[in-house]
Amino acid sequence: MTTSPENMIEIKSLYKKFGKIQALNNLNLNIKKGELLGIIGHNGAGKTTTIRIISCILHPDKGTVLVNNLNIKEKPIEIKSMIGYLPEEPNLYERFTAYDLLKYFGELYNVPSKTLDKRIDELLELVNMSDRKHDKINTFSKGLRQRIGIARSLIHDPEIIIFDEPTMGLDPATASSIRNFILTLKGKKTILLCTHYMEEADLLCDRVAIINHGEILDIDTPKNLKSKIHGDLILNIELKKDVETEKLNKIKNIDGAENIELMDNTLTVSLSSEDLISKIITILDNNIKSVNTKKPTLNDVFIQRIKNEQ
Amino acid sequence: MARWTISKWELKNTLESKKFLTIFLAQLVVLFIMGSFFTSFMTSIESEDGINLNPSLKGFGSLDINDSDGLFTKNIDSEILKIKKANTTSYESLKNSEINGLINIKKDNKTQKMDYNLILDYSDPKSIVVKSEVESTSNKTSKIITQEFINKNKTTNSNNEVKEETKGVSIPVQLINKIMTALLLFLPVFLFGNLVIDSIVGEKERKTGEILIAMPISRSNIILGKSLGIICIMAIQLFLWIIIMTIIGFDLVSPALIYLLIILTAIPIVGVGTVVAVYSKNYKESEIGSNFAYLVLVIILIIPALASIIRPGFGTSSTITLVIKIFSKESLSLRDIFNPIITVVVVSIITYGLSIWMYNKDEIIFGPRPKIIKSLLKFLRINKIINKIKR
Repeated sequence: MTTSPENMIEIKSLYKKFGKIQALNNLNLNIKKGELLGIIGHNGAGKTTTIRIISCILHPDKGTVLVNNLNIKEKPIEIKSMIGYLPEEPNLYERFTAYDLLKYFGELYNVPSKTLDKRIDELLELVNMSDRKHDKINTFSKGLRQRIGIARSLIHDPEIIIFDEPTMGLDPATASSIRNFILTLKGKKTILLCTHYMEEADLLCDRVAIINHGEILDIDTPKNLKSKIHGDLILNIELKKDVETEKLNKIKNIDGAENIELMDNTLTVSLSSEDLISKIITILDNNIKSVNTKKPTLNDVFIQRIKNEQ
Repeated sequence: MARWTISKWELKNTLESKKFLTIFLAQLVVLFIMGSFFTSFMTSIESEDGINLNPSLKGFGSLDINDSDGLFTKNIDSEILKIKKANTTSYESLKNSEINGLINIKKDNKTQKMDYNLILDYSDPKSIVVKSEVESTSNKTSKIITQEFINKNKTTNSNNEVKEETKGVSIPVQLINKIMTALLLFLPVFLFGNLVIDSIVGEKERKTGEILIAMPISRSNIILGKSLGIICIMAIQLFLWIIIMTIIGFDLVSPALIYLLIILTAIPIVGVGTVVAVYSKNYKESEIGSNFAYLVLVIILIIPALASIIRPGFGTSSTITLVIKIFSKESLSLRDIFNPIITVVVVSIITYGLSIWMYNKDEIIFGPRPKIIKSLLKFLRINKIINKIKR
């Protein structure tokens, strides 16, 4: 099996089991060169297992993973050299200084000693930590650790960068600065981003894959995912009293109205066009307490997709 | 290349750690004190006065002696036994437990033959000491009579002179010296053997192991690189220790050869540590595991060395045995040299092989971790045989 020229990573029929738990179940995924692909899924969905297998940290039970046309089973060392991996928690050597840490990993990545010091300075500048070069890691805040973790993952100027929950547990300002940093890498590197934060995936990713129970449920651009499932907008109508079945069926029969849900006297409908709002309001007549609309988010897509699966 | 990088940084970080340096220096000081005490102990034990390890027996018992010649009475230790000339009431006194023994000595002046008749009350617990003291005095007296006999009959030709000469120290003292010196030499290796556990388990506790595995380096090289770093630290510690021992006054035969042998021994010792470290989930587990590791090392190294002392020719598999033999300046057979080397190689292959095999298993690193026995059966491929039999 070979990768198509536009694909940097190709995963076919991937399986992985931990004891009795099936972590990955026939997972298929392609990541294009220079693409920023997001993987979203709840805890235990298989995100981290997938990226650990791509990073050659875990061995798959079955299936094929090609990274830049190299098979992870045959060329793990070469593949590891191409990847910059940032785990969920940066987990750094506490007693090291920022400089020592980057030097250690630079040497492990075989970065030539002549260019290593220059590269360290560049990266520290990039993550705004030049002034903390000789400070020990155990004096850094969580945000600074994450930044130095990012610098560590970029020390060998990798072609592929894998970020596992890079903004997890960070304050909004630090999370935002890290997102902006990831945006500066967009297009230059192939990036795989695992996240819980849907707005982060929406903001950063070219495409988003929804993973559940170890398999990809859907993969597309955030825009397409949203329109595929929720159309243009989501309409929420708070009702005065229960709606009659006849009226509800009328709404269901409207072309372009989908995902109709009635819960606690609140009717939620995904609409393909704003024009359909008036039609629904007419059907419900004077049973309406309040009306609001919102643009669908990836979060709505994710919840709906998981719901559909169940 | 990456393996050396890991070894280099392992060495650098350990030597730069203030905590390690404190322990390192403290151990050297403790070893120095131990060594100093031991050398002064050996000096005392080898001296004329010697060291009496028994509890004081001063005035322990009483003995009535019927000794016409007086030679026996002269040589018996009157500090341990209160000596009195035997008389007609002596036997009665023994029966009444007023004295602890009665001895009648007859000496044939013509043949110099000396017979003695010792009467003891065996229900008296002190009788054993009295008997032992009488026997030792008898031997001493016998030696004196023999020497007198030799002197009396010696010819004028000095070449035929019979001479009794005492040279060197007794065999038990020599043995204590050799065994203790060998064990003191090996001590730093035992003390630092668990450093590798700290290094590998530390990566698990800090969760830095995941990043390390993500580096372009094989897992076997991570294990070997870390082990090599620890062996280098041991080599430094041992080098300093040998210098200290020499300064204290230990007579180390072939120190360079001994140094190499101990470093060679450090390889399987660290190997046993890596097995414990790779399997342990955390420090707590590794502490239990290191007790097991020490047990293995005692079986591999110390028991054979002790066996070789009890029965020469036994226990040649231990490098400690070889070191003791080098100290003894004994001629070494091929078996003496190759057996410990083969043991070191075999134990190293098994321990590092097992460590690397385990470190390559996702379930050992990320869980759920299989049971020890199940893992061992898998490693030895016995599970396949069992499965075949089951089928």
